Amino acid sequence: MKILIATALFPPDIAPPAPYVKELAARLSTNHDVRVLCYGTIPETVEEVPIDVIPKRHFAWFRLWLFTRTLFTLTRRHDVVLIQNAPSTELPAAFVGLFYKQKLQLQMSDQKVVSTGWRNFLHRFTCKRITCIVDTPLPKDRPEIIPFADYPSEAFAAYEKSWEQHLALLSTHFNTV
Amino acid sequence: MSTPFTHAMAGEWNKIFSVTADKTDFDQYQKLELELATKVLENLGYILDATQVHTGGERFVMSGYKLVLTGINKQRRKVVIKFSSHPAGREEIKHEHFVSTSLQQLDFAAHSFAAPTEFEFRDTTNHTFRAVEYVEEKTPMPTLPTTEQFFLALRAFEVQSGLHATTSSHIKKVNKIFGLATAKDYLRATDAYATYITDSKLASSITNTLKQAKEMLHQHTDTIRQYTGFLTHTDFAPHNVRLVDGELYLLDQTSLHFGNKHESWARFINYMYLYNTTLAQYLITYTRDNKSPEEYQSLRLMQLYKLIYLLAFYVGSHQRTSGNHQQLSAARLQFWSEILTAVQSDQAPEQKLIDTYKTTRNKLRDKDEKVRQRALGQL
Repeated sequence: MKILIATALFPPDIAPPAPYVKELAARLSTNHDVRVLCYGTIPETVEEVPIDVIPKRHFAWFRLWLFTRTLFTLTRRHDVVLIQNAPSTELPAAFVGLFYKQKLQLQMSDQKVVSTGWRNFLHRFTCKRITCIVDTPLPKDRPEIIPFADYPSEAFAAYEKSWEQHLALLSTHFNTV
Repeated sequence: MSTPFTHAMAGEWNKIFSVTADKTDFDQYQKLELELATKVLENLGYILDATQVHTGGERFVMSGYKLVLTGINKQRRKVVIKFSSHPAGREEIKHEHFVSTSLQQLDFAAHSFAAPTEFEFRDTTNHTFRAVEYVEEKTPMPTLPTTEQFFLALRAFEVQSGLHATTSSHIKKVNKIFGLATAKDYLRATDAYATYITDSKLASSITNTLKQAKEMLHQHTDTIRQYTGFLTHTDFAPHNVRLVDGELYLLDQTSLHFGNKHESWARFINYMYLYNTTLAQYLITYTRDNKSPEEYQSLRLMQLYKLIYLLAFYVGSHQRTSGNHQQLSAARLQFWSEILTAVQSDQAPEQKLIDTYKTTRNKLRDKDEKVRQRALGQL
């Protein structure tokens, strides 16, 4: 399956869901053809995953237009488009959804995005132009390896299990496409 | 050649290329400045400490024509006062005031940190001074167990990287206040420092290592660029960090700019090679085990950049000093050259090298500098 992940944040951005999206792209790419569309400058690389970058340094409306245009082009070539929730991805998704609604899925990966005022309106507007909302719980954060502490084997086992469960749940959404 | 872009980088640049006074000149400047400062501050109700530890020792090679004084204000609060009647010193103090007031207004910070309260700032026709709260730590960072220092350092790095200027509006805001150090700026500065070191012939043993380090920086411009746009402290060391009642303070805000995220990490790790090699190694291992290969590469590149700067600084110091100070600069050049060689090869420096250097350094340091270092918590 060809999967496009459209995200506002990607490492070296540090705010959530950037690290999650990178890990998601890496794990999905073991079984699918994955591509990422993000805003940024020079994103961190993920093996076997091409990344299209819309420079953030452009003025807001221009970069929004570039993202929309690229999203439109890439959506045609993919089976599933997983939009990570944020105003800067949802507005382009709302436009693309006019043409390719059946491919678009909105994933609520950024719990901190505040949906009030115009953001709430945009979010509701976008939800009408996508096929489903993916609100599966996110996996655990990757455990840290502390140089002077024991290797966190149990924490890593729990981390891997949370990812297995997460991907299994996501797959149920992909299979509805 | 044009100077580096940001105020913080310009400050570092000027410490090498613009400081021309020797110790005698500086002592004379300091004497007159202290007389003026005492008169002005006492008229405003400040009581200066009888012993001013930050005016002696090696302060003259790095001071930048300003005084750092301690005392109490009219409200009996302990204060640190930066005072200058010299144009360069005044500019620095004004910039610090500007940065301090602007920092809290940045609305895209993921984390926040505390800054000492500014009690008074005055910019008159002939002098400028800034009096801030003296932030006293019950347990200075170097006295904490290494494991606690590790977590404190990580916390400070996280706080800085919580400010990431990416969009055009972020960049516009931060450019005015801090400046934005680009990959080109880092390379331009590196080239100038490396040429200065090579031309001095004081570090001939590392000509090849210096060349390789410079080439490595140039070859990985994209990696440097990848991690720019983050708030970073160019002089991140224990004496510029305070942890008080769980609140993290970053001092010396003239050293803040938006540049490569790992510049502050690199400064700290390089510093820790000398004071706590275990901590330095912990931080490097942590980065290698938990961050992406690009991040680890960026850290190494910044380490090289900061080491090249340090070597250029000590070349300048060697040229402006005499006697024990000059011998100390020579010893430092030798020591940091060896560290550059180790970092270039991705190796840990040998403990024997560090111990030998410390013995030499302690013999050559004068009494005033030892007092100053104790006040900074580094002895």
